[in-house]
Amino acid sequence: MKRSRRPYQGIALTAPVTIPYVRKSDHSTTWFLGMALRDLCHNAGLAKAEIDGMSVSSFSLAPDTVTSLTETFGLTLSWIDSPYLGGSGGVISAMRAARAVQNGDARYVACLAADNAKPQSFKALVKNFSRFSRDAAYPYGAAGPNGVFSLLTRKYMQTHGATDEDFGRLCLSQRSNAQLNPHAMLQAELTMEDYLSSRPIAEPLKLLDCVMPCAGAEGFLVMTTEDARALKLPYVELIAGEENHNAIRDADVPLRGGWDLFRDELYSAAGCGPHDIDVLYTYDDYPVIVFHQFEGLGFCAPGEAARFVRDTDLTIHSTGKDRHLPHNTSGGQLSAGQAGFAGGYLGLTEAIRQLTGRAGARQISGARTALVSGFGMVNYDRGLCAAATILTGAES
Amino acid sequence: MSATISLQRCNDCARPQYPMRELCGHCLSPNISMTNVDAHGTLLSWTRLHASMEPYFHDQLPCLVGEVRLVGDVMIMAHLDLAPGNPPPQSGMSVRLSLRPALDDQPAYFATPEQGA
Ligand SMILES: [Zn+2]
Repeated sequence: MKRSRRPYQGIALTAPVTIPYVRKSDHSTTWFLGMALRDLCHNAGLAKAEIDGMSVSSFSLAPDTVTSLTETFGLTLSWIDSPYLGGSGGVISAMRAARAVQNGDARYVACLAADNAKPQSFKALVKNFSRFSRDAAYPYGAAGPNGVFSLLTRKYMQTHGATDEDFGRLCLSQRSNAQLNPHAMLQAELTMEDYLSSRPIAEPLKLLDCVMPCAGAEGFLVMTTEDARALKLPYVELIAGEENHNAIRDADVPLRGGWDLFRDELYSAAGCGPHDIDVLYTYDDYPVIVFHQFEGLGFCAPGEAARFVRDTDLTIHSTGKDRHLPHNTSGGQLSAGQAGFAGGYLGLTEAIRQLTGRAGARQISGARTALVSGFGMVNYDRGLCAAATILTGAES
Repeated sequence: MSATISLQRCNDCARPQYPMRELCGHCLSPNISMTNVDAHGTLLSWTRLHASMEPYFHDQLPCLVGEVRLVGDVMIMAHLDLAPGNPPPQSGMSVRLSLRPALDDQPAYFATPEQGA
């Protein structure tokens, strides 16, 4: 019999925090994590001593670990976790924390992610990301993720006929959203000509297909909906979550990331379908991966993402296309910047803000249901971890 | 043409594998040995790199890199060995792999288009 996950029940995500991104910082990753924890406690009205669980995602924490941080931050905890999951780490950290709370292992879990964008730490990360990568990918131009994702992008374009302009439409929509996000690193108006003429990095990828590494942190709290109500905190409920790892093993450059393999279970657990999603947050390390998510999560058929992007307003405000689906309303990593593993949290913190009516100038009126997906961990020639969760705003 | 390259193969289930590892990725057998396999394969996708984190590559930019599938479904990243002035690579083209020293003087795969392919 096929495995099926037990339902997520009574789980709240609340108190989203963002430590503003900067291009470079003298502060350590630990500082960014500490500032995020401080803001979390402040926003939630919780004393630090009440936090009893902590999940930390970072690639630049060494020589420290999440255990070191308990001492650094003066915490005594009953549950800790340090998911090393790249761009799938936000969604999966929320799922892990939800299970800990649901099982009574912890009451208030602080989920934190930060990195500090030191160029040498990025090179060391890329060079030794994995054995396969070190031995069989890095020696071929030492291009890091740009190299692998350029191969994926060309394969997608050749198979489905997508063009530079199709990826450009996505990037322009996210830049438009970023203009309403004071935290976004890139806010200047972007035209299709700017996009198309940005310098080549790893053809067909151009500079504006690549995220800007920066320093920053994201975080949120996980607790029961009952506790969130008692604390009078605006919250969203995590009603479904799925993940898979190394699911796409075809001996070819892949055209999908793995979401299609759990999509039915995800929507079934949430009791809804793609047409019920009011706001969508995909992991946008590169535009082609967003196209994979649109297809894998059922927003369009395989190979149809370019047409979907042409026919859909992905911006905060509709411009009158056939369909309006606000997507990556913070600007996503492509415009807000990628603070390392915090990039995997970006969709979650923004989704919590949207569904609790606290997205300010970016607020989508009536947004009730969000889907947040993640993708991460290129071990050799493809990303291995796919994840997605569905969140709903609380009845008021 | 009988060009070959040396790859790991499982002595128990006979599957070739790449990248190298200490056991068979299919049956988990530790009985692995090196064996010669046909060096001809298909170019699946390629890129022209304009940036690299290694100074070694800087005076070679832009450089061509691709991914090749050999018989046995082995996937190998390789430098593309195309003389300047040649037409750009085409996904699906037939290539032959060979080893030559590259970054850090370590042997690396180079894919050369097959004549008349
Ligand atoms: Zn075997």
